[in-house]
Amino acid sequence: MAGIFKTFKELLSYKKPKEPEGGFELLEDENEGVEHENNQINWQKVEKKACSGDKNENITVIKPPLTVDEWNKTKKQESTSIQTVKNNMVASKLAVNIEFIKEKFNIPKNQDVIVREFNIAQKIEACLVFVDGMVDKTIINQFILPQLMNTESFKSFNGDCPVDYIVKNVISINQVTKTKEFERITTQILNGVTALFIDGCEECLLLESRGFEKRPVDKPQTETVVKGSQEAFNENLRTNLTLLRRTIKNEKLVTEIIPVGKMNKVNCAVVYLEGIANHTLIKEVERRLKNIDIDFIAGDGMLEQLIEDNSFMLFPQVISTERPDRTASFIMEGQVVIICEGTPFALALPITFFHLFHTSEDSMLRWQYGTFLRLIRCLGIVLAALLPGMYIALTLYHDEMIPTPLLMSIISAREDVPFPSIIEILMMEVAFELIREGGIRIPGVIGQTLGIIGALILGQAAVAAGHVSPALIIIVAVSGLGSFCIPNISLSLAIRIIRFIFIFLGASLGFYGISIGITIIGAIACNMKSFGVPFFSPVAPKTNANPDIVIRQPIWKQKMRPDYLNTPDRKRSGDNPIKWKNKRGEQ
Amino acid sequence: MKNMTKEGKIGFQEALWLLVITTSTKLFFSSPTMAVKLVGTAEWYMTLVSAVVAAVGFIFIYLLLKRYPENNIMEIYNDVFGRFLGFILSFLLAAVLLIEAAVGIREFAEVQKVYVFPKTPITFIIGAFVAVAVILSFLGLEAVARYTKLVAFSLILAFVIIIILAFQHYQLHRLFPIYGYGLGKTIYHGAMRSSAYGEVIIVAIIAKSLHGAKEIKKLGFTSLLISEVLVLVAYLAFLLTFSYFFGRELTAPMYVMSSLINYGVFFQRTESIFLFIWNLTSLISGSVLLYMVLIVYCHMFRIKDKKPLIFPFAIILFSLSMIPRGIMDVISIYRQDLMQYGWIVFYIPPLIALITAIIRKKKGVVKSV
Repeated sequence: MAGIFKTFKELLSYKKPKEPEGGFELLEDENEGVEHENNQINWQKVEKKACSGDKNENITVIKPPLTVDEWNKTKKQESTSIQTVKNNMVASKLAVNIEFIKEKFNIPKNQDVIVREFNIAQKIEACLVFVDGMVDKTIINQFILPQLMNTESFKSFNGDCPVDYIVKNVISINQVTKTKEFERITTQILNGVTALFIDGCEECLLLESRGFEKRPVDKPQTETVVKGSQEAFNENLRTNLTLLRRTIKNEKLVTEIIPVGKMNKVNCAVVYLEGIANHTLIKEVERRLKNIDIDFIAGDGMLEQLIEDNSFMLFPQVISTERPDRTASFIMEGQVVIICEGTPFALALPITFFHLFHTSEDSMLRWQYGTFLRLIRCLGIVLAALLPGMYIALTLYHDEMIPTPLLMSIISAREDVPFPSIIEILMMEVAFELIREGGIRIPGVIGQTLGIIGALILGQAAVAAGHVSPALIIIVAVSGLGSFCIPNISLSLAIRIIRFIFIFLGASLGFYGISIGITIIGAIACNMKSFGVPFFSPVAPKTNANPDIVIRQPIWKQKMRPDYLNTPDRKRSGDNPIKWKNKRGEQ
Repeated sequence: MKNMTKEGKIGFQEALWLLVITTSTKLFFSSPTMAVKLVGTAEWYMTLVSAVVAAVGFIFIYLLLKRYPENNIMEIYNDVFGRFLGFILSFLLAAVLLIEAAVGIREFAEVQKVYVFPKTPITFIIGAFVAVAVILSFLGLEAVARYTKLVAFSLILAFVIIIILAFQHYQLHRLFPIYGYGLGKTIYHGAMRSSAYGEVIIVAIIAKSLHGAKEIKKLGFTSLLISEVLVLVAYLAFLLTFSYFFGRELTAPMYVMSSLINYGVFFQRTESIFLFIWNLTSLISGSVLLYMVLIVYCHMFRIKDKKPLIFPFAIILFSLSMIPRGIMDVISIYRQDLMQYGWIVFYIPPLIALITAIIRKKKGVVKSV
């Protein structure tokens, strides 16, 4: 009763709102638009904290009085250390290094980065710095800390700086590197490496301790094949590189790691075969990667857009693959591969149009089957791009060219359709694209079901309602199937966009319009280059290449690397790759 | 300069198909009709005479380019005749090429209007054509040459298919009387119509983008040979399909020939294939000619960047193509005059330049090794 009375009273009386009007609002303030330098360090704070030497402010430590000389020496050491750190180098005084690290990583606000201080052999002050979750705790707990804290391990040590002694005698870790540069140390810590700072040493030890969660090697999702390897890349760079190394067991396979992204510093591995890949090409790839000035790179998709020659072209200029075997074949051809940390794809470059409609299965199958599949794909590309436009052009402008029985069947089917052909085809194309996009966005089985049911119901209902002619459903479906035949997602999307261009051109100028479209798009594509290689090489311009462009001849006939890649080593095989044929009975 | 349109270097095959397509596009329009009017049933070998005369004309061009291995025809004219006369000769060349492009576009548009778009305004058809020529000119010679090479095989294949399919209408007796209106007349008109292959002069304009005199020689003769074979086959097919007196009445005989193809209820009327060959080759040819005009003009006035000139020249091209009053004017006056007198600009100045260079002992300086 009292509750009801209280509610009633609150309804009638005025009460000051608890929150200001509108709640929280993100409004501009004086910080907006002010660019902050990355890793800006408050040096005064570092100096103050490092010099005070009070590690635990709650505990009062009674220090013995210092002589003037000692005091001067300490002060001088402190100022030298601060200066060293200011130059981004490791200082000999541990307290300075720790304060610098804390300031740099925003500790204690940032709770991911752990600074573990301890004494080496109960004598020398030291600390480990690592990112929680990025490291394998077992390595730290079993192979670093116990051995460093054990006095027995340091029995034979009698020097000032134990860095070398630790590397050689104490720590049983497979990969340990020394460095003085804070820049490198920071990057490595963020990559899951543990940094060991020791008091009195101007070097830091980087101990390999990476142990973050990762997905196992799985089956390819977008490049499935019937014949061939069933492994795909995952998000872990190391795993991806291992998969490549496992396929190309060659000492000349080079992996250069280049961090990209000012803020997130994603590791990008540039992989190539020394002596096969063109040096100018490698330098150009490195130049482009090193000159990317952007704060965040989420993966290869973003990287691709930042390194491609021309962003305004419809066709892709870099090929993305999730298959290690295909990546290996690109490397063996003389292309350069970039594998970006965090995405299960590798980028290969330079590419031509013909790379985009080849699949790794083409080489795995016998040449007749491979050629047949490629011809089917060629037909798919043509149908996907041109069929709806041609249909519109034929029905609107060139109906005299349609054989009479077919023309009659089209006319009778269109009799009840209230829309003009262009609207009819656009409606169906847009519906088809919606189903496609919806099918991808909705997860798992529902997506597939939506695709099939949506297409069936929509098509059936549209025909039954008399809004669309059945002939048009066939046209849209066949062009859709054609686009599914395209193995590369970027090329498939480009063709889907081009299809709409051809529909408009066909509707406005019939076959003449389509010819205009073919000429303009063709000439623009011919003008396009991927890392200096013309897009339609080796056909236009004509260069020497293996008989593996559209029609694939037997593997033993493919003796040379493509001319357009200008590889130092042109030969892929000997003059007679199947020597056994001429040497019957020999071993 | 970063934004300049690219001439660059083009390969043998790209240059070859560029020349073949630019030269042989004419056969899809009124060219066979006009030829049959002049020489009757001797049309098919009259073109052989034209090609031989064109080959002789090309020999002069080649010898001149061999003497000046690192120069194009405009630079050679300047060197041989001096800046003033050279300028005039280059201007004449540019003017003839521009008129040829304009006539080609108008002829294409008129034939399109007759057979395909009876209700579409001619300005729209020509406007769209010129827009394509503008875009292709912005892309540059390299891109156009590559595109030509890319589509050339498909176009030739489609052409061969149509010629083979039209076999059902071929009647051998239509070739007779074999001498047409007389051998003398055939040779005379054949020689006069050598301008039909006058596009071979393009080799001299783009000489700097090619790889030396040896390639130029091979390129010129091969392009003439392929164009000649295409024209001869087309003329032969045309004569075998239509009797010469009926053939004189057709505006675009090749188009009509392809529309007559009939292999049963379903497989008939293959002019849709023909339309694509027709459209694509015409678009390439018109664009190439416009680009050649730009090259010559830029050399005349020593302009380094062609880009600012593309739009003005496109407007001139559009205006020129609108001058003829109708299709009859285009066919019987403009096209006819170009065919009859084009050789004066294509072959004679190089011949005079060659003779003058020999007499005055002038030679090009080889800078690069």
